Amino acid sequence: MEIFALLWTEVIIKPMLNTLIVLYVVFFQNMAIAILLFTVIVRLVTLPLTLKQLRQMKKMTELQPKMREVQTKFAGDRTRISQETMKVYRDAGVSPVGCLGPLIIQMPILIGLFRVLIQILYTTPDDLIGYSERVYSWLTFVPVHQAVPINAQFLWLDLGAPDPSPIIIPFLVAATTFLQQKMTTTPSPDPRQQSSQAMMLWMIPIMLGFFALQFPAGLSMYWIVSNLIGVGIQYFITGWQPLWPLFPKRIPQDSQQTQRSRQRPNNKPNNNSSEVNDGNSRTQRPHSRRSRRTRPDGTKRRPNRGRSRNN
Amino acid sequence: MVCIILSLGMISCMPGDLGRAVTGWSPVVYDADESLLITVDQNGYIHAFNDNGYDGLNPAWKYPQSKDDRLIGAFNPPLIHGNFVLVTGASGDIYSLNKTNRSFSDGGWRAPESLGKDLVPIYGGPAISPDGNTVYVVDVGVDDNGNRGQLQGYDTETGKPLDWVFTAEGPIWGTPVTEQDRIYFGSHDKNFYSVDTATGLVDWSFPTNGAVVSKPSISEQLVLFGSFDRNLYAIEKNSGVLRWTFQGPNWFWATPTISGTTIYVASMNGTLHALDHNGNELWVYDHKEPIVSSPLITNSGIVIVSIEGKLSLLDSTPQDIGDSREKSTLELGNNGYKAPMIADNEYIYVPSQRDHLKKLRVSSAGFNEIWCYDLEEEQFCE
Repeated sequence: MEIFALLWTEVIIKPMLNTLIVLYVVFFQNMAIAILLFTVIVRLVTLPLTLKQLRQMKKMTELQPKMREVQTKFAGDRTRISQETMKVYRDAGVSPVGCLGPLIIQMPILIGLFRVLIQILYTTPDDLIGYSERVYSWLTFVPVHQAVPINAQFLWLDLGAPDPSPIIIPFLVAATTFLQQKMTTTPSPDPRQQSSQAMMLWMIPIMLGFFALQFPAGLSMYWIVSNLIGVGIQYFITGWQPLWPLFPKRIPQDSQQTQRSRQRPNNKPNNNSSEVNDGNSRTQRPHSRRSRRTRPDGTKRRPNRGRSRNN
Repeated sequence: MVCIILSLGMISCMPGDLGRAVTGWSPVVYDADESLLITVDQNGYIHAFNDNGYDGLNPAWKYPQSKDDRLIGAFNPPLIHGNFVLVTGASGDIYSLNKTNRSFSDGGWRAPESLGKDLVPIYGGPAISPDGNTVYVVDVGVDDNGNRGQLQGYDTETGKPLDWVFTAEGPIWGTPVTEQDRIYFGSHDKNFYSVDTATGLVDWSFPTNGAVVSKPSISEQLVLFGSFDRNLYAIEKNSGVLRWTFQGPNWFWATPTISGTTIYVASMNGTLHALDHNGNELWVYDHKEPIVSSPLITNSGIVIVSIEGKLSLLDSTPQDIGDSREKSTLELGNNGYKAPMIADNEYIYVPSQRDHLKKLRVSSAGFNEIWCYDLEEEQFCE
């Protein structure tokens, strides 16, 4: 356990704290600028991973027709579907797990930044002692030891405390997270996954916005800037296309099930490339199909589930 | 993304104010006349004990009974004045309690009077005027433009505040020191102040390049204090003129200790420096662990303790004697040794932030533990 604590301190906390302090000292003793530049540096360092992630996601998007074909061909046989899906990914040189790289890297950075901000924007003697113990003593070319007291004021914010407004920062966190997610979510061919994707698209920003009510504003600032940079990078890969429609209509699950039950194994997959990046292609199906969900007597059709629908 | 959410959820669920719950350093004061030991545990409860030496401790009283009235945490030692003990804490409260029965009767008081309101945290300890009529308290300060610490005096008998308040440009953390009609203290605004106690006006101020949080020491002519610019400053206490500076390897947080013509000062790098009265370094000892607690002079030598609990007895010989300087070392364990140690003849009391208070006998042979008391469990340590 001690080795993890040591690694955590030496690999995450100390480099982050010293980088932030150097940025603070060099750039006008303004912690907001330091956090902004720090975020840019983190995004630059993780840029190769981010680009790899985005390219993989683009490939995965391009594989959607094939995925739909697999879904249709082996409908009901989940094991086979997952086997074939993995085969499609493997043949195309795509690793679904590979997309997680930047996210996994972000996790210790976020937690570390939380701890670092507490120490830098100290309010108690213990925080300040923690700061002192983590400043590199060899870092003499920049007067990091003289940086204390840190000026944590930025506009109406104390960067070491939650937003006093308290709406603006949580809203920005939620909004930028939504945009970032909207830009980067790969549409799933599986209707159930589509449904959960749609839910996550809303739930995650709301939850993060809720967390931001309690987080130091400096941490929220990192998150907002990081999201905006992420959106910018995504723009250069895919353009603004994934953003639209901003608020897609959601199709009830039973409708999707019904639609799928009507598909036959010999149905040709839809290769229309305009649907590829949409992720909401089912919203564009002919209205006549959806209308058949409801029986003439007004009762809903019971959705077919599992193997029985193919029998 | 889910992992990130879970992580953020976990850290948002940390106890206290974003995991920033204040815990004090359990500072201690000893009244040798009555063998009374008074300390404030990390949660802000005041404990008084009768010290029976090798027979251990007898709890005398504990204050308060209600969690709402506790001091949250104290970082600097209480002060004994006549029959009363003066205590300050991070809750912002100032108590003057009867030291024998913890009561407010017969001249005890509590300030400020705005009970039940959010008070400004107090990290510095109380300082009393030479005539004993006024107790001075510094606070962290709260202001729309940041924290601006204040120095305020209170009548020691009634708790009534003086009619002046001195406001610095930054928080004031260090315990002030009084002498004659002056009070000396440093601030996070990087200045060190000498304030006239009659008027509350600045007599002189001295700018440094770092925050000043340590309690100053006063010699016959000089006031000595460490700064976060890594310098120890010696200023003429009457004029505010700089006499000399000494640059260390890291911040000076611990109060410099003066013994005869020698000054001992410990840095946050873990080095102890012995200086002559002109600021020339006589010798340096590398303790290798950060030191916040002030060096303590005993008959057997100089005692220092690191935050991690490495306690060492050093030879005070002014000549550089190299590695033989270290006479004895003891690992106390249970880290968090930040509050000042105190000495009573050959005995020392070493408080730990983790609520372990130890009494040790110091001899030229080294340390001998007399007892260890756990303030939180209210029983002797294993």
